[in-house]
Amino acid sequence: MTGQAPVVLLAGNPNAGKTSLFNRLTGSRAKVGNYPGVTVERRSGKLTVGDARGAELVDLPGTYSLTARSSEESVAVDALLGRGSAPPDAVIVVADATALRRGLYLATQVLDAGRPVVLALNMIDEARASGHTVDAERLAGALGCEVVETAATKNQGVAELAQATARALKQAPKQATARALKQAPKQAPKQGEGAEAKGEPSGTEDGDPNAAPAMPTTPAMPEALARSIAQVEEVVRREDARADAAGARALAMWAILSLGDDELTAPSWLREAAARAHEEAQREGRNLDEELVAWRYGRVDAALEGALTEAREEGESTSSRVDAVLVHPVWGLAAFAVVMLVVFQMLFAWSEPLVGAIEGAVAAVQDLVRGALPAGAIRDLIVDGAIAGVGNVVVFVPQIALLFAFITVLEDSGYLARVAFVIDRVMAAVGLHGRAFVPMLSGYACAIPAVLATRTLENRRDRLITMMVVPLASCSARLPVYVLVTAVIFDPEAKVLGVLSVGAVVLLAMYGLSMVATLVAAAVLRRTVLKGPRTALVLELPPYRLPSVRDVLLATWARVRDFLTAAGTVILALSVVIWGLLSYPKDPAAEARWEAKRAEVTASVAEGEERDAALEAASQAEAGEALRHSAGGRLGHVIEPVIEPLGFDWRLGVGIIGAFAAREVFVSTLGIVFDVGSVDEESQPLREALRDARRPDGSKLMTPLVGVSLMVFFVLACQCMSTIAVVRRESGAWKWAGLMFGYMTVLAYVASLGVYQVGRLLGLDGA
Amino acid sequence: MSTPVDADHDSVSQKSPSSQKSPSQDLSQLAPGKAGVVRRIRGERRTVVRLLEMGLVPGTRVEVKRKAPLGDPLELRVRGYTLSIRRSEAAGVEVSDVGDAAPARKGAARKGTAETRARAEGEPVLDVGSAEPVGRVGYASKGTS
Repeated sequence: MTGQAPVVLLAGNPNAGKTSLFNRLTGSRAKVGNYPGVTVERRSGKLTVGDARGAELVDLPGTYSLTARSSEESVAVDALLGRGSAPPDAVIVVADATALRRGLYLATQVLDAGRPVVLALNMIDEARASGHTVDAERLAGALGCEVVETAATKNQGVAELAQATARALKQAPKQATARALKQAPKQAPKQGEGAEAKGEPSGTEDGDPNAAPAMPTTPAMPEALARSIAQVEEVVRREDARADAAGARALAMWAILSLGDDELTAPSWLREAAARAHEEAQREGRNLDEELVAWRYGRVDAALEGALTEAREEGESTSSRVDAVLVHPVWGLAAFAVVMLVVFQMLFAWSEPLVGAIEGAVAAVQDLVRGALPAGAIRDLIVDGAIAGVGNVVVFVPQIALLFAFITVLEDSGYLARVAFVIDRVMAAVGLHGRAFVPMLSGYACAIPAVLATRTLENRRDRLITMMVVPLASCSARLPVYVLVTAVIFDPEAKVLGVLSVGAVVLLAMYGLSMVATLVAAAVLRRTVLKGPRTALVLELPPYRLPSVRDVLLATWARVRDFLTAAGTVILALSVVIWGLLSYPKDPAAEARWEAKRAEVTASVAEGEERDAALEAASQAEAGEALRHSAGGRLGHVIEPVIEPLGFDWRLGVGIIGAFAAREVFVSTLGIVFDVGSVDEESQPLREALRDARRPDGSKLMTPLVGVSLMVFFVLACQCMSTIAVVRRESGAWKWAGLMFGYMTVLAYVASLGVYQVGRLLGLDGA
Repeated sequence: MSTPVDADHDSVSQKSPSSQKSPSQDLSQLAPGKAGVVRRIRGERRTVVRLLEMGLVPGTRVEVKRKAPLGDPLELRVRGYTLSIRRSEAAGVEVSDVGDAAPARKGAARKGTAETRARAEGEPVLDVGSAEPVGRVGYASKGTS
């Protein structure tokens, strides 16, 4: 054995409790990375249980089959067959003991690859409770691998699984192959009350180590199918010297089901061989896909014959009774609405105190450091650049943690699949999957957790579309902008139809615009940049289960940690850049002038409120002048010709530049520009200043038309560097983040231009 | 990159599954509570393979449990688990009606394979070894009919 730790893959269906088992086997310490070339998360950890301690356990993405159409889907098969990496030393296949008739399909595919396999029958407690009886020994005999019964959430059978894995690692791969050919390992005695059965390893029989790979004898493979597979297999052996017998055969079977209308980068010889096999079968009136899958399921049924006794009644299970309510035409929709309301409330309101606490803590740290360091550029950089930037990152943590804890609870309990089931019809209308609903909804609170939540979508194209349109959802950071602008341009007493205030109607219109834009953008992306075959909904509705607190906390922490380290660093860097833009270059002459002014006030005005007010006014004016002098302030002038057709002047332009740090910063930036200080949207001085603002020709700046144009701009524009950073992280490429920023900016510009110019033509620019 | 097999698949995938004469129904026509035995699946190849791999192989008994609150997708019971697919995909799954789900569930513990169950119910099953090909799947039908 080389110095490298052996590698054990963990494969299994979604909802089979694979993550739970991974956490148990590794002591919850996972290293998270990416598979090379794709944005599929690669979780691995050291086995901390049993004799194989130290072996690397790699958690493969949950899948029902090894068949792949995209490079994301082929991650599992590549790892298993050692394509692009060393082949694994052993594989643990996790099957949901309550759904073995489907779960063993993947298990037999993995077995065919010829690596030593241990099958974990997870959730065995649940299977027993619902009346199924599994004879693990008999199953082990039929499959030719060790079978261990586990209940990961209760930590049962985990030690036995680890021991079985250690035994599997000791086998030479070729012996494993031969062993399976020779049928049934010897039986181990059933263990007392734990009832964990294990097949004893039986490495004694060793047939010809170069024999053809394992193919259990029942049911016999139809001769024609065997011929087709052999035909492809022969090509693999000829072209790929590295492939061993089992690997060549497994690759041949994989190619037959996967290649054709795929988006894979498979070698052309393999592609041609698979196509030829299909063609020849077709000429004989056979369908190779169907034959191969049917044969494999025949094998599953044969393996379960006598090993599985199913409960007589499946219709009246607890899950079925719960579903009678939760997906009921009336109660189901009501339950759905309540759960979604909770999601929204959580992001919008419940996270608020936590966000407030974080902002308070950041301000306290800033004060502390400001007091401890001598005044100067370094102090400014640390306090207003770096510490404020860290605050910009950490402030998202409460929403991300809350959303992911809740999503994990929904997912592990089985309800998230029902969410998709209930709302799929609506989402399908714009070409999306039912699972896209939760991220879309979350987007109305904040795009950052929403983009992260797109991880629940398994199809990459669906996921990209969703994350690229989620920022169009009108998030809570836009609200202060709407509130300020409506307060400035509309009389609070003005009513529509005598009851509704004009402001409320405009606000509603902005949310409507955002909703329409989101759906249209999704439909357009689906038909253009992210065009591709329509993804069918193939959704398992797993039995309802009680989520484990431990798994929920671990999943939540993993998300938060990933956000802080990956996207957080980019957000921090961008924060510092924007702060620099709005702070430099300094104007020493102006600073000296304002210093003198303050001295004059202190000398001439008696101590008291009057003096404080005068000093305050002076520093606000100074901040305004400094901002106008900064690179960002001058940039406002630079972009003025571009934004003038939208009705904006350079001051609004500076606000828009500042808003890139976060949309609500638009308000405080305008406050500084208008010499009223860093204020919020409720500030009367800022509202007054905006109402009184004039253009050089003396006309009013903030007419209702300009206000509406500005709000439309904020609905559609990607004014948020954090969103860009997160989309870059989640899509794996700047390309997608750039495309999103580009299309949203163009959309916003064109829409605002339309509003302002058409409005002017209609003579609405008066008032 | 496209092979002749693909071209064939694509051309047929556009056809409406109901355009071919058949005595059996498709899965989208079964009322909730009814069960059928899968005869064949038609549609886009990638979807057909996915449905096959989720256990909807010819000879398998499948029950329509209910529709989603908004009418689509459908909730199916197949191979001892619950699967949801849209009506548009269900329309490609040709089934022979075996009536209400309830009577089939009476009786002793269900042992044996889906195939033996289907045989007992007198339904045609896929028999890839026999001379008579049953597994003629929609997307490959252009060349054979």
